[in-house]
Amino acid sequence: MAIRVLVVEDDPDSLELMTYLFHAFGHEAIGAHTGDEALVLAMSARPDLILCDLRLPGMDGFELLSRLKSDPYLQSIPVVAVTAYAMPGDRERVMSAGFQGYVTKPIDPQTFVRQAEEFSARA
Amino acid sequence: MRDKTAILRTRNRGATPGAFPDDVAERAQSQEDRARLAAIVESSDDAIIGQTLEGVVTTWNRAAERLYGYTAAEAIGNPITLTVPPERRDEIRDYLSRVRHGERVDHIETVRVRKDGSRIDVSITVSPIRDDAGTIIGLSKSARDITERRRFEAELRRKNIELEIASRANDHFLASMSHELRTPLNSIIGFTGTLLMKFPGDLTEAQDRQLQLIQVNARHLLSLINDLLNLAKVRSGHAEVQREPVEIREVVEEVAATLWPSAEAKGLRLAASLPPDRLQINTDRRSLIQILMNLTTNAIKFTKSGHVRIDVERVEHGSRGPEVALHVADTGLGIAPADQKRLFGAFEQLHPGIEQEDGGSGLGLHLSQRMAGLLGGRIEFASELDKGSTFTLFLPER
Repeated sequence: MAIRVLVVEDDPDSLELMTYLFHAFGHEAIGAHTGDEALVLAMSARPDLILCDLRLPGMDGFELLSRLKSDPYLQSIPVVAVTAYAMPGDRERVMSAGFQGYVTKPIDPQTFVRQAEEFSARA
Repeated sequence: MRDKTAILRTRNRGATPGAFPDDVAERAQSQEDRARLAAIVESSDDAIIGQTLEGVVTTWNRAAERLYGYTAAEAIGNPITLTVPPERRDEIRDYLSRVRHGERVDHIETVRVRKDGSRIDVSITVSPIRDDAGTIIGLSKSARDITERRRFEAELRRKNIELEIASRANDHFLASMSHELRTPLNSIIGFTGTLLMKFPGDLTEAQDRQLQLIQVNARHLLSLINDLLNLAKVRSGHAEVQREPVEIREVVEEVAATLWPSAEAKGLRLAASLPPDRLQINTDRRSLIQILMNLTTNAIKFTKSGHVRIDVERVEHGSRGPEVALHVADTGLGIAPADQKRLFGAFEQLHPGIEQEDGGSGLGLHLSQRMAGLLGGRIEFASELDKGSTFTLFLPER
């Protein structure tokens, strides 16, 4: 079943990679470079899944998550974190913040889309 | 000439009138003692000041002259408040009354004033002086200049704050570096992946081959970055060790399950054995898994045929108390005696060809050894060329 994914990522090449992969696997993907853009697009496009890099300019991934969760129209959309896991305690922080799950960077192109599908299905 | 030790002379109330030679000898002895005591007081580095119960100075040693700037002549007969800044006058009343009740006032840190008006940080101790009958007849105050010490303490505090800031900056730096280094790899590994999956179109054999080479090297670079960042954290003392009770069985099963596919792909048997009773140790779970993964991955990597076994046993009398030993044994290439010395060195690769094939960085064992150290344990090994090796992680039970 095709899903619509909103990918929030400030590195343009990484964004291109992820949206390309989703398209290659038959899904629809839209991209946002910042948290603000993401909020606007989430409202208008109502995606089935939001993938969000934790490190974004301005509003970071955690703040974006909390904004999404506090909006009645958007709060039911599962949000998955994309992260490099630099610091100890990062995983716990991500899970307890309310993310559906996480994908580590650099992503594995072979399993990336399947992981996203699973997150979307589980929600 | 004023007798500076006047206050130290106890009033000889019990003296019998018409005392004889004994008394003379006694007086001579006590004069000698007095002289000795006087010398001690004079030579002391601390200011020693005798006072009446009303706080009038009766004796003033050389150190007091140096500390306060008043000569003995100038100080004696004057109230001690001469040296006390106005806002501290209450202190005098306070310690005078305490000492009158027989209390000793110990190492009070306060401020005094010199003859020239400048202020000094001092630490003072005041004790009662009693006569033979035990009556308190005055007080002895010793004062020490603690300006140096204060400055030293402030310096230390400042340095600690600096270190704290630097440490946090370093943490931030490592996190940024981690992110910065991984981002380009995302594109490299990612797009070689999409090309190899033939999404943009079919590939010739040469294109396929060359793309695979790019990907292998990108993975190698990634593991180098991971290991380097981990090592940086361990070295700078930023690696957090979170101790919790860990079930050894669970850890071994997790590692075995994860690596079973790669062992099977090479036709190797991967087996594990544990003692029948529950085995639990207090340690950092993530680090333990990382070390065990490293040792087992190595074993699989360097074994062409045969098996890799993980055996766990409890060592009652380890070198440092009860320990748990996790042995990873293989039937692989083994390590030549000449190479054994550099095994745990950073960036050491005994078989670069094999290492790089699976993305090894040459930091694995080095990092594992350091991590084992952080957990209070160590890694030991035994090996025979062409027969195999056994690497053992020892961890304290508690």
